[in-house]
Amino acid sequence: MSGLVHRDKVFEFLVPRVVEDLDLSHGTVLYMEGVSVAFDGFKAINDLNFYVDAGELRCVIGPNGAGKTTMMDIITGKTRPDRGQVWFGQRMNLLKMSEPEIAQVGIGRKFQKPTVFEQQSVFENLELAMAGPKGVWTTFRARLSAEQRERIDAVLETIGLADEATRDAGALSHGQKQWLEIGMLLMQNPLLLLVDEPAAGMTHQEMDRTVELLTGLAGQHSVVVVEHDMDFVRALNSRVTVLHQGHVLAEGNMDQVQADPRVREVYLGG
Amino acid sequence: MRLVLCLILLLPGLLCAAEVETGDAGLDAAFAQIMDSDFELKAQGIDALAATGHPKAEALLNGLFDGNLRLHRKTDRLVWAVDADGGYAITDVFSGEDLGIESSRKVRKLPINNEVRVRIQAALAALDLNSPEATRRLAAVESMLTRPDPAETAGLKARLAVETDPAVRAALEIALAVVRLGDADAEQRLDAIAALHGRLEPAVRNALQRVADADREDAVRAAASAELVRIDRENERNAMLETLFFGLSAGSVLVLAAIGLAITFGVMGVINMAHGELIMLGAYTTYLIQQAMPTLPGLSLALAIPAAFIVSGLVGIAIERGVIRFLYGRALETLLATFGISLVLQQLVRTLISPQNVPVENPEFMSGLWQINPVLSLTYNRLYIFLFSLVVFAALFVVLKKTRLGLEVRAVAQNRAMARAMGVRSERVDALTFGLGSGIAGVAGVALSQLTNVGPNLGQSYIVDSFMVVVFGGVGNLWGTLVAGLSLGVANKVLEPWSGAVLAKILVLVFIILFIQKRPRGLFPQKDRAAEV
Amino acid sequence: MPAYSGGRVLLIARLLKNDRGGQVFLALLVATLIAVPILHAMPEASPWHLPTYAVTLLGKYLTYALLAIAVDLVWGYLGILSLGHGAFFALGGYAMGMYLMRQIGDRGVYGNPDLPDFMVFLNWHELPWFWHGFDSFPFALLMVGLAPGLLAFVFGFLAFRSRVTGVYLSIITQALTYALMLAFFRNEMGFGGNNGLTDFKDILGFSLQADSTRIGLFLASGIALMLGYLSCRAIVISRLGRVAAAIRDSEDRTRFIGYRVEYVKLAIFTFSAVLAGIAGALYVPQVGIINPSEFSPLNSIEIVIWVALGGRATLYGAVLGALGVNYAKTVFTAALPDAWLFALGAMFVLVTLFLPRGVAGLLRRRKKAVVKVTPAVEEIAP
Repeated sequence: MSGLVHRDKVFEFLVPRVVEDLDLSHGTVLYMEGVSVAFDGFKAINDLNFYVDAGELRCVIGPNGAGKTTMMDIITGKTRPDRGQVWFGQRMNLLKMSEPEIAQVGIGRKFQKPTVFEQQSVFENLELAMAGPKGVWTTFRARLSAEQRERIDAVLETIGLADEATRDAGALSHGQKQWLEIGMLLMQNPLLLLVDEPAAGMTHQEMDRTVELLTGLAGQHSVVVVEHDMDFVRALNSRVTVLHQGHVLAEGNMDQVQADPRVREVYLGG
Repeated sequence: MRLVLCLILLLPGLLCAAEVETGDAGLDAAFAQIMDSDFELKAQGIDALAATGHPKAEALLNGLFDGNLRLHRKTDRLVWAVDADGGYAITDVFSGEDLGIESSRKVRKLPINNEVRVRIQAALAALDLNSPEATRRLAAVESMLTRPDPAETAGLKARLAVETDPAVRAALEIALAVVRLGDADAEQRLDAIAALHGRLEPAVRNALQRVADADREDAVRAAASAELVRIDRENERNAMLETLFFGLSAGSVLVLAAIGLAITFGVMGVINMAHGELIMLGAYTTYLIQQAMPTLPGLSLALAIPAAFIVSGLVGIAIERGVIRFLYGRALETLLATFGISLVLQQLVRTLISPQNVPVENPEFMSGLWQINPVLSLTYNRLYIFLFSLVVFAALFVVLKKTRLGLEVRAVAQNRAMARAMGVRSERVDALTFGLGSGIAGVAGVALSQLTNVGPNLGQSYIVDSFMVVVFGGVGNLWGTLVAGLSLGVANKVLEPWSGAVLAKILVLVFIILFIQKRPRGLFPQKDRAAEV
Repeated sequence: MPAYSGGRVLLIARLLKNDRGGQVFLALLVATLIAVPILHAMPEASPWHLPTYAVTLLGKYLTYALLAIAVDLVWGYLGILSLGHGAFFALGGYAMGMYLMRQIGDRGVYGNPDLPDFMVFLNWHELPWFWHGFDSFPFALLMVGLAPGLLAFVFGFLAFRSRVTGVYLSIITQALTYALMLAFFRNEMGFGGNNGLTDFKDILGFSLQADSTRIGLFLASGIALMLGYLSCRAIVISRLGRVAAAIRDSEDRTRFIGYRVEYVKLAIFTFSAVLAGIAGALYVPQVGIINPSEFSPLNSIEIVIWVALGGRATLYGAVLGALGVNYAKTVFTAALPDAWLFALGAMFVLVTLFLPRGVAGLLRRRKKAVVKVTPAVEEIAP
């Protein structure tokens, strides 16, 4: 297994695809303003304001039930907020778009619980996720070009699953599934990556590789990582947003956040 | 010329005018008049016959009316004549003696005309009016209502003076008022219209209609018209109430059929396509118990309720333990397997009992009508089944909310792993919950046996409907099932007169399909946090 | 021309690559299509002679097999358990039945040249608007596809757009066919009510009673099955087929990688409905009648058990199941009519409990056990 990011070679999949309509002139990729959503009276997200800059790597932490996953659900169109605005760049109103549309304009997501297509091979999983037109007829007529095949091979290499390419995804270990999900995210080649608990079930070495991969992606892409593992967050060395009861409690680098008395209270006293 | 013809026609009558021998002076006198060729005298004879108070008077009047009462020429005796070979078989009216068969020439008909017929009817009605049985008196008054006759005023008044039965009194008052509608005095007619205020009987409406169309006085016509408008409005309201009742009744059947499903499907998430057959088993249990005690339909029905609960409940538990528990989490497979079970249960009934429908009796208290007003009546079986469905619903509600089992059921439904950790034996709870839902299906079958045909296909016709009710109401929500069932029933009955029964059913199905598009989680969805994919 | 047909052979070869079951099935099918007319032509005294009724029975089975493939495509590969595919089959059948009714002309009982018998019986005076055009065979063929296709499209559009899935979808498909059954039972609908359409005389000028027509219909059914199989196979092995499987296994996830799940479902569901309609259209002239009982929910759910028994998500398994169950049904209902429903019911239970992958799954498992020794590498190439 070679290193994750080959310094000597720029892979095509590391250059994000930017959709024409996307206006990033203000340097902000994602705006969430005044967003609230309640489930059966329980306010999962409460007047949340959250911004992500172009090329930024951001960690989101918070205790259980702080609304981290719900926030991702809202960004990707799975949950519609009761109030508030969510914009991708200056011009795209995410609240008016369906999940596949949001995915197509360049927001990719890795789920907390790895969900890969278990009945299909690792290679096929990556092929399905590959960026490109996804209409019914084009999908029916689609044939892999040599270039696309190379791209899949490159991602297979990156996620360390080259030897498993023909195995059913269902037969992979938990950690391998995590990697496959990351690989699918890479194939999608989104501008904004939402990564939910990537480190769960990984060994220390794998975690180090993940850190390397995510920090390598930042710059060209914007990356939002939700994570519980504080060592992992510290290793990412990025800006940290602390969510509590569906609201931003604190924001800053890891040290600032850890020094914040409110954060300490939520984590220790609450 | 005409006169001659008349005379010739009348001649035999005159010649044969004979004395009738009855052995009763009053009757003899009356029949002397009846035998007279003068129809006016005949009519008086009819009244006289009615006035004798003789126990056979009514039968004699009916005989005259039908022509069965004849005179035996040889003996001058009154006889009942029945068509027979070679003439009439005759029996003496008073002694009942069989007089053999006589040729038609030997038995004389007692000639009557239409005027006399009317007189006979009136006399019979007057007899009925004074009958010792209240129901006959009431029927007599009601028949008079349809052909009001001023001549009857006296009789009606006389009866009203002595009448004690409130229903008959009310009817008498109406009849008197209806008769007065034909009074020569306009004041009287107006007064009669006022007296009829609040009445809904079709006869009253017809009488008022006649007045409104044809009365000489404007004021009277206007008063009658106003009253007609009111009656029509009332009738419309009653028709609406009736539709509502039929709708609620149909809805209560749906609720009964669906409520067990609301537990197995709604609470446990198990798709049981054999649910309809569990209902069918309940209905057959009722049938078998009735067969065992044919003389006690009421008791057998009461016994059928717990018996059906146990039978269907046990079959349900057997299905759960034998098949469904291996398929938890695989809804589509559960659907197929339970469908197979439904086929087997149907065929089992066909083979063991009969492929035909079986008759299930309604006990006394379940049959009959509850007459709320002259145009609105509710059948008792539908009424009781409506109440029964509410009772079953309430009982189930209490079981789920107040008992230990209910608590465990809800706990397992919400979080199986956690419930197990807390010491709930989830396997046992699954079996009992499924048994409970199935048992209620059986109880529904008891109720259905009182409304519809009991046959092997009974359940099939309810399964789609039941699922629709549960889905429409919102899965996992008992109240939703109740509201959905009742409202679908009402919707069906409201649409029916406008579109026909089959089309109404189709429209409701289409509506639900469209509704599920809009609100996939039903009327009363349970909103959760969006789960992870 | 040779190059063209050469391309076609290549296409078929590509479609059947890695499909041992399909290869065997198609080879057998072609052999049957050749053998049946020959056997039928044998003199009647010969022990090899195949009587006409058997040809028709085989033809009927083939249309069932096509129907099973249609159901397998949506259930096995897309995860939609349709309990209403009998409705599409019946609609195709009615479209064909209407053409056949018009072909009767004035040879009906009432001898009315303009109206089918049942309309004369109901005292109708003119042909309802939706019967116009069915004099023409091409128009009828168009409707054979269009009627079920359009219904599936509208129904699917509504259902998939609002993300009705799983059991809910199954139950509303059942409600759909149930509602159609009630509707077609009504005389006012103009489709012959209870009795449906029957007493057909001829098709395209050939008498339906003639042996040669029977053979022709049998061959048409066989060819339709073959083409249906190959086109389903083309979908299944394409990337679209893999997207379908992805939807089956995790619908939400498929959305998040950018596929319009509802469009994929709509396209495949509609295609499947058209296939079912074609099967129905071939079925009707062979059995000689179409009536509303074809819409009964039991019929639709029976198709599902053919597929389940044969093995869903293997197209040849669906064929196997359709032929096997229907053969068993023919034998059973003749010998032990009462036992058939017991057998069918037991089949539902036993297959779901003990044979979730069907007979094809059993065959495959045995094969896999052998293959496992040498790891398969070349599977992925599309």
